[in-house]
Amino acid sequence: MKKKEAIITIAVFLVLLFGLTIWNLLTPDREFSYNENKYLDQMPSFSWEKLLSGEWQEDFESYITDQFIGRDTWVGMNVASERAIGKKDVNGVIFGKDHYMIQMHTPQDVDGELVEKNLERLRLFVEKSKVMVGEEHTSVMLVPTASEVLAEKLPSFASGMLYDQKALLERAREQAGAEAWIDAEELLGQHKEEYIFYRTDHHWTMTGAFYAYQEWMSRKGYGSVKLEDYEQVTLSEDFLGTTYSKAPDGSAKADTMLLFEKDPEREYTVYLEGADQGRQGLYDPAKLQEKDKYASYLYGNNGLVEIRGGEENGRTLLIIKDSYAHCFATLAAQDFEKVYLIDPRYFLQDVWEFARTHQVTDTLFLFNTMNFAQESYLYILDEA
Amino acid sequence: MERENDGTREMVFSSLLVLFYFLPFVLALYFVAPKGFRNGILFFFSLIFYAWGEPVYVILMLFSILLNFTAGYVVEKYKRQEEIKKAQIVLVISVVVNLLLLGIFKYSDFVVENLNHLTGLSVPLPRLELPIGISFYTFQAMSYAIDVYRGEAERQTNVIAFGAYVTLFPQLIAGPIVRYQTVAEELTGRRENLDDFSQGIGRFMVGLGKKVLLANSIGMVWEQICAMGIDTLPALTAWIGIFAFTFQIYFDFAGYSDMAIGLGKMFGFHFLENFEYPYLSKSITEFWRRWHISLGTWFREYVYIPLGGNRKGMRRQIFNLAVVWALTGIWHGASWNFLLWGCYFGVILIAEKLFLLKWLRRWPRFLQHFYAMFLVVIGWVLFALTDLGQVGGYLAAMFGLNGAGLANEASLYLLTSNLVLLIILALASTDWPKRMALSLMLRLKNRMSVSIALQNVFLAAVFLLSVAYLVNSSYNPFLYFRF
Repeated sequence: MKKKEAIITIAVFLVLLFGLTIWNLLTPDREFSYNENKYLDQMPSFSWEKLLSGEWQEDFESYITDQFIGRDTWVGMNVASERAIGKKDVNGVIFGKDHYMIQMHTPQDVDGELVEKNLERLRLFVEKSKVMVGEEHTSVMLVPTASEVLAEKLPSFASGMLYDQKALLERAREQAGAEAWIDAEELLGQHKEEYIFYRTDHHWTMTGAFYAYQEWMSRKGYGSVKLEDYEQVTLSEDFLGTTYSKAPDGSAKADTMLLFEKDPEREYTVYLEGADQGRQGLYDPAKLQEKDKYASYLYGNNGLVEIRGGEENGRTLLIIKDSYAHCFATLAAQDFEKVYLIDPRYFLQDVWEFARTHQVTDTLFLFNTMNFAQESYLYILDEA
Repeated sequence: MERENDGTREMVFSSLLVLFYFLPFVLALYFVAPKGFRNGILFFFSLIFYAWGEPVYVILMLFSILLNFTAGYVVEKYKRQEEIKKAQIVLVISVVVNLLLLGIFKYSDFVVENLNHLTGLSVPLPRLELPIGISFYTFQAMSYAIDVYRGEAERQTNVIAFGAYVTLFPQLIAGPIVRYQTVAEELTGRRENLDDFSQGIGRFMVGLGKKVLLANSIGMVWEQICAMGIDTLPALTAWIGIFAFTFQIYFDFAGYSDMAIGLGKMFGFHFLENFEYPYLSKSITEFWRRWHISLGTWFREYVYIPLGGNRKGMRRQIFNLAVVWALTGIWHGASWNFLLWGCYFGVILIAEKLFLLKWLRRWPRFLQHFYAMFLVVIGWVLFALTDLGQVGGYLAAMFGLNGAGLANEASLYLLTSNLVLLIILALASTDWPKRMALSLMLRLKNRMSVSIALQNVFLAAVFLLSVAYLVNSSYNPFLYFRF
């Protein structure tokens, strides 16, 4: 009996150990993980030098971790068990009410010195823009993220763990000046019961961006924009975004992505990185078939985007932005003759030189607060 | 604690690399090979295991093996010729060289830095990278020549077998410190068998779970709290933090010992226990009988008793205790806080020996537990923070003396988010799970198949869940690595 017992345990162990080993060895390596939206590490190339320094060993370990079979299932199992023992956040994602998976920004994520620098850069932006396009055509909008706007959806005490976005917004308002400042915090707060943030992604929704756009247009004196003037086109109903990727949870509820169009007949051309050939349409249908569906708006992250096809009114808008601007700009494209978007991370030219040669009439600085606090590439706004 | 290496480079058991590449390969080769090759296989793969993280320091390890093997050989020869003096000289030389190596590689920065400080000189720091596990394998290897000299073990004639003993990968880098006499016979005469192998599996799985599921999870909480800035922590957060560390260090280290003991059993070795529910202790004396037993035994056998132990009067005994505890402290790391930590326990142990223990015995049990755990937890503050200024700041935070108050929202968040985990950890650090399991098995005595199924499902679940945590996590340090 004793012996039989031992044999069973040994058999279970050997099957698990060798089963997974062999399965791993037989499974071909993947290039890319659609769920995590990242390139996976490949078998490191060998050299004696790397071996002696330990670098090869390190690369090999991250290779086998990345390529482990059923990666997504294992990660899902991990998240499920963490949630089962009552963890309120897993992998930097807080599980809120109504299936909201909210990115957790702690004070430790933010470098105070960088924030000071970026606030100064914000002031410089407003100063220079005033000279170029005038005070009334210069705007700054920092958008608080879901953890701030949807604080009521957070589990109890969670706000005590989070970076104080309100304080940052207050400082930024001082730097930008009352004329340029668009208070996204207040206006999103008025709509917090609506679907203004994705449940499974860190971006705002088209609806959230719309309210901001409406406010901005009226503040700039470009007339009142009404929700009923737009046709709402559904781009996707099964969007599982970045916070889901970080902490894939069984109870996640997929998001809906919309596009707002005043005139569905109208054609827009989007030029990426100064290319001569444009792409037709404000979104990329191909990206909707992939994991990172948000990248569909204006074809994802590009250093420079130019949109043509809007109202021929001689107005040219320049947006210095992060990805929150991608859905926002699809609205602006309809009311401005030209819209330029500049992503500081990939833009190598002089911003103000660019604005001058392209006869920009309006500027907008649009970031979410956390990206603004953590963006190290805003030095492109420093004085030359 | 040395944190620079954070467990990314060392080959650790609780990694996908060992579980699904190294271990299956070594197991298969070991059991396919004829008996005569098995020590060679263990020796060779242990060297690879070590070289994975420290390719260059393998040479140091090979030197240590040759040094101690030769010392044992010569000591035995002189003893046989009844030239005790010569045997003593050889033994002393080998001990000095061993300690010198340990001193150079582990303590040279510390010594130079403090000498600079004292003398105002600025001798450049040697900045030698600490060879992994050097404190463990040096102590282990030293025990051989001493055991031979004392006649407590036979001389090992096979250098491969001796090499396998020193490098044995299951306990190479974080113990337990296996004294030579414990495994002397098994080195050449062990008989691997199904029963040991299956028990070894169980032990290994439980250890893996302790390390990956418990220690790593709560370790993240400790890291999180440290990152918040020690000077601004309210008392509740500071207490959650140090409890998190208290559990992390135990489950990390005990988990590693379980895995080592389990693996050893699979290969036919029987190492002694290293932990015996230390957090159940009712005094510090008892705590140190239950915590890192192999280290305590080593110091008792090779330092305390040779110094005269308790046989030369009370004064001498107190002196001996002070020496042992200062050494125990500094063994844990080349930094003042570890020395302080050792002395802290030295003082408490002496006080307990002199009067406290008699007095304590009259207290209600829960008060005795409270007393012991309180001192242990305060001890972990000294241990966890290498900077003495931070130690002071942390203690101030725990007792509400830093002006940050008793609790804030973040404290309550951390408490509620980790409450279940903390309860699980508290229960798991007692013998309650074991007693429950035994009574369950007893109840299922007549339904053997159910009992067997339950055990195996439990082990498989721990294993699979551990794999899930390993696939997801980038946080997998080993606290006891760099000692």
